[in-house]
Amino acid sequence: MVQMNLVTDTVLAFYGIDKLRFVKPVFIGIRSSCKKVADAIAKSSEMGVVTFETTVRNQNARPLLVYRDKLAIKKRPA
Amino acid sequence: MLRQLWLVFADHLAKLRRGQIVHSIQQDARQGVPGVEDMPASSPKLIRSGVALKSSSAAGKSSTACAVSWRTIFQESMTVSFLTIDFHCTRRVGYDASEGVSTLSLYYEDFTVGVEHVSRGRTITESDVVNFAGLSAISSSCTRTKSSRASPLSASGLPTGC
Repeated sequence: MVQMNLVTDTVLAFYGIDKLRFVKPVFIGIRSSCKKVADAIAKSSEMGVVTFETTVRNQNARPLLVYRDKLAIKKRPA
Repeated sequence: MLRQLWLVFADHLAKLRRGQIVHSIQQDARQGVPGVEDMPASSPKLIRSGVALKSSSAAGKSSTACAVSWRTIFQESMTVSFLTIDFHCTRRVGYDASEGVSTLSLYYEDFTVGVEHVSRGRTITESDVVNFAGLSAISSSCTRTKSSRASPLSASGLPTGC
């Protein structure tokens, strides 16, 4: 998430992780990438909690690690 | 289906405009940018469509802070064709002078359910495995930090016996 620079300046809190699974072993030298899909968004007056379905994949797009994480993210200033 | 597709697309377009959108793939096509495909002229059957937000954090490597790819798969009789529309931000959304990298800090309004965000690739190193093993309290017998693929372990996916 840090490398993606998606919410570097706007994240308020790391809310938690659910359903974390190590699907396949991760070997040294493999090329990995991370895909995050916004799955649900809960809004409040000052922030929103975005639930992501996250998948870390290898170079063949096979999942290595999957989890659901929640981030509290700032509301856009008026 | 097409109406829903258009609503999602219009929503993204509005958000992207707020984020300093600029030119579309049609402009790229007119300018002869390689890799840009035009939409099929006929009325094809839509198979699948989706949006992917690609971010680029290295300001020095690209003039664009972000790029959004809209991929639509059409079927025309026996032929499957792909339409990819790219939008680029010409202005950096954020910039950290101390690190020399641009940041793409999205507010929660910028997220839409179903939108993919894909990172750049990263090669797993020995230190990644060692650091993970330290953080997750996995004993050294459970990790083999040799770079060979024949080495049965890895930072995750514990082998039998651990």
